[in-house]
Amino acid sequence: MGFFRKHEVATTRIQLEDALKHLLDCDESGRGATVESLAGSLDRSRREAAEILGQLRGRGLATASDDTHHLTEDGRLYALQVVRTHRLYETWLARETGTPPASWHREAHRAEHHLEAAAVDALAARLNYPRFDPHGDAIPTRDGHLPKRRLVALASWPDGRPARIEHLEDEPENLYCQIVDLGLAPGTLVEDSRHLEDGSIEVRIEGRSLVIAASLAPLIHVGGLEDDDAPPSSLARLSDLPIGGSAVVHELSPACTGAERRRLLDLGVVPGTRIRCEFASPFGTPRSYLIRGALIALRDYQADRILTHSAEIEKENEIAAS
Amino acid sequence: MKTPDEVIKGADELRWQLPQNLHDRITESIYAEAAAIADRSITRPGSSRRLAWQQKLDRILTNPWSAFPIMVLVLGAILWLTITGANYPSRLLATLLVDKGHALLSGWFTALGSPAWFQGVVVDGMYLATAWVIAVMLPPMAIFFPCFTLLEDFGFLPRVAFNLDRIFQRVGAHGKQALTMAMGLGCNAAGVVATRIIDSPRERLIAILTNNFSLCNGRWPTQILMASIFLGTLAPKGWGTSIAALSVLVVAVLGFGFAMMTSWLLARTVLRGEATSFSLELPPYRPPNFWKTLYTSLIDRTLIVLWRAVVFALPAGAAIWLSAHIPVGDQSLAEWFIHATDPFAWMFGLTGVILLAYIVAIPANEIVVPTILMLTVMVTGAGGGQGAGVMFEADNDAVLSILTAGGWTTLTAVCLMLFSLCHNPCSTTLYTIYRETQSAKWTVVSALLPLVMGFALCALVAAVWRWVA
Amino acid sequence: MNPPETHAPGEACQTCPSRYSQLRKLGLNIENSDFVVALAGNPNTGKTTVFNALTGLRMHTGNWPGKTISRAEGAFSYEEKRFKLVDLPGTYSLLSASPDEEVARSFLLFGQPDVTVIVADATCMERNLNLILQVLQITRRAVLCLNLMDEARAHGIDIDIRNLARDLGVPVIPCAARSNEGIPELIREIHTMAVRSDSPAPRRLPLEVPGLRLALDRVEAELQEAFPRLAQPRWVALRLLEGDREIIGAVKSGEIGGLAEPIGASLLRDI
Repeated sequence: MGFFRKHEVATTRIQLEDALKHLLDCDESGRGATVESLAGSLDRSRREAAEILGQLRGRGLATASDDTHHLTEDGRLYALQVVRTHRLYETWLARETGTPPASWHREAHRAEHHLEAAAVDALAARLNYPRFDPHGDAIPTRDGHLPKRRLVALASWPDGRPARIEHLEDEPENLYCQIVDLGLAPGTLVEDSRHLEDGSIEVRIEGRSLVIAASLAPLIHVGGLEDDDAPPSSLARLSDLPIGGSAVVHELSPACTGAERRRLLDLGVVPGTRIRCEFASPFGTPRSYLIRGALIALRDYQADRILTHSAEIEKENEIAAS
Repeated sequence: MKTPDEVIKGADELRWQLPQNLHDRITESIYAEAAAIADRSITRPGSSRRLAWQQKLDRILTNPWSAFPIMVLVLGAILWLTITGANYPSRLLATLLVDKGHALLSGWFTALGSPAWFQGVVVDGMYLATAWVIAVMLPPMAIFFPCFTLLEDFGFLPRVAFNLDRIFQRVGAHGKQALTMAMGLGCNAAGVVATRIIDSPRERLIAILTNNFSLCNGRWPTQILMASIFLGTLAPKGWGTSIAALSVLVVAVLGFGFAMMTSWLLARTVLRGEATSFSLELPPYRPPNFWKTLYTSLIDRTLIVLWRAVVFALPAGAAIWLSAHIPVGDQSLAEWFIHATDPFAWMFGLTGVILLAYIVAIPANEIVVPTILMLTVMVTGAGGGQGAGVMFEADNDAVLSILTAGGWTTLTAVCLMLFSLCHNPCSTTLYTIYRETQSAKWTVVSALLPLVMGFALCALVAAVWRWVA
Repeated sequence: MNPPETHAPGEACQTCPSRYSQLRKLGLNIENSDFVVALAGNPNTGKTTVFNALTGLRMHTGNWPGKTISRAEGAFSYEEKRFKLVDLPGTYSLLSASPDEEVARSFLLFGQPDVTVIVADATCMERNLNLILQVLQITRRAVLCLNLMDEARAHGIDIDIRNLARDLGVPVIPCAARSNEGIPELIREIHTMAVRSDSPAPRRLPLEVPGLRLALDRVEAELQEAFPRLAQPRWVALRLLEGDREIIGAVKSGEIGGLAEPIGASLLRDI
């Protein structure tokens, strides 16, 4: 990134960059970083944290007023580039590798300090300049532009009002893993939600009811729906379709990403497409579906991620019965 | 006047205001337009006789009860047709090229007064090896591949992939790998090329690396010969052929098992992070264009076999002859190698002759058996044949007596069968793997992986065998 | 918009020898061609069969998507003009980043074929139209080859060729390449399209996506200002907004400015 000479130890760079990210976090939330907060965030002693802050000041990346530290313009730009690298790397992992979501953050955290600016730009180009990372965070541009959004936690969302998941906090990792296991992703439609007495929230998602534990609810941020985005009366998954039944696609689940999503779209699995389940393989999966005039085999996990209008299924069944 | 950079900058800024799922929305709008256009110009009947029988056929071919018997029957029929059907043309070609052609050429060279070593390299080495490859390989390839192409044109193969996909999904591979493996039963190089139908890189690489576990045409003769002269004779009278056939089948099934196991290992270790997406289209059945397919496939395969014979068997032939004639001390290079490696080979239930044969047969597996016979005759001085470094054909009894004289036991035969299944791919296949993967690393892996497995397997079998005996 | 005359020829025409008299299959002899013809289409629509029928080559085919991966080239001559034929990999779309699609997309845009033959499966038109419409955004000089018409007939599918041609704004030729049905008409249409001096106006996509229209209009206008001769400003604008790195590179280097309609110029061009 130009601020370090080659002979400097890599660990110094990692420490300073992590410190910059902490300062950025504090600046964004408006609290201002202190030696204590940095020591806590980096898991270092106060003396070490003070030394790191001293180095940042020395390089003109941070300024101190009283005992709180703030980023300078240069420091902010640098910190945003580290964030940019991290989020781009996560996007790449999500879109182009089979890396499980639980490891995205850890691997990106490792990579963010080692990629050079040119490599990061190449990565951005390769990914067609993505705007959001797989957790729903905006990715800063090369010149440090980062749009802001107001996030509302699911815990404070009113009962019964449909919403869309906009962002998932990826730390702490064990909690994030639980969220992923529930099948949630940024963009997932929350058809209905209800606070239970113990602080957990019962939601209806993609045709299924599930309970989100109280510990997870603060990590899930949601937003209201756009006008043309009203949820249908009820959703079902294509995998629920009986053989011989048909349904109309509502949308592809946001959990379906990367090459998988593009291929399904190209095959004509877009909102409004009528799909009929033709027959199953001797093992039950894959099953073959008639999609836009072509017979396509889909594995169960793929059909799970295609959301359909269940109302249509009922109507179809009625017609078939009569 | 805008500069190009300004245009790009403008687009970069506007990109932030677009909906997040832009790609989805664009595809959706194009499909909406497509549906509208199709509605205006195309009318489809709800059903037709063609559609009805296609659906019926699909039900039968994917029914849990009938799907597998039909698949096994079809594959069995093709293999049977290939093995028995190839016999006659193979004999004819062997008589023509090996017996008559070799004598004729030798006559000419002698008449022209060429030096003995030159005649040896060219006629006894290069020509004979090439003639062998053509005689052994051309007929089965010319039968197997047209059959396969007909099934492909008809639309049967995608249903096989569909039926077997679950097994392949379990080991982290793609159902279409079933087809590339079946293709590999004809020729591994063709199987590797066929992996192009798998469109996700990870699954494709798995299919490429495991294709070698499909016994190819060049290895069937080794299996059949070993099974009939060593295992078949162990069986009670009248059961010999069945036992022999069964043991070859066991080896082939073992190959399938190894392919699955290796796929599973690869998918869970080195190839874990690779991108993956599954897509399998089941095209409608189309009546194949029988004669055209037959003709095209026949011509193509003949050309491939001839090319391979010239490029790979020609130099191999020279190498065999030279190794039998270049002296090292008081023996030939071949004898020296065989004696040096015998103790090492013993650990794996093999012999130095087999190891040498596999080294010279890297270009073309089909010359393994004749090379083994030739080398055994040279080393033991047992009867038959036409002299050192000359490949020949002999009937089963003569082969048995030559090999027994060379110290072979049933264990040697079993280990040879296993090693023939599990060793490095031939050089054509390796070259094809390199061309398809564009990676020296994966080519090396594809060569070493089965080789290491083969040695381990043979060592295990030999140790257990000797311990039991 | 001038729909070309296309009609199914009668039995007598099918067998008339004069129709073949001017066609010479040149196989791999692709030197000194007057025109470049690209073959695009979905996987498994018989693109390779059409390719073989036109060039007399024997590329391997199969009822199986994705048999052709690399770009195959061949040639034929008709009316004393030599045509180089490029068989592009079969793709479902031109919007994604898969290697096949990149090959097809960049050839259609930067290779500037004089004629693009879109091969479609007549039994599965809706899916095929997705790609057809995308190709028509990139090139104006296209001919739609409706292959597998024999299969469509067997399935009782009825296609109003005239209506389809009018709707798409390009000539539509029904074919059954396996039995050579419709191939002579296809060749004639390729020739007509290659030598005609005016440019047909194929259907443009409305792209009714909220928020996209305005952005598209703006980038398109800016592109036209920067590169007045650019033939497909809307498509390029869309790709810019989607962040296609190849297009961004071409805009940056100014290469995109040279992508005008290849009318007439191709007659002089030496390939």
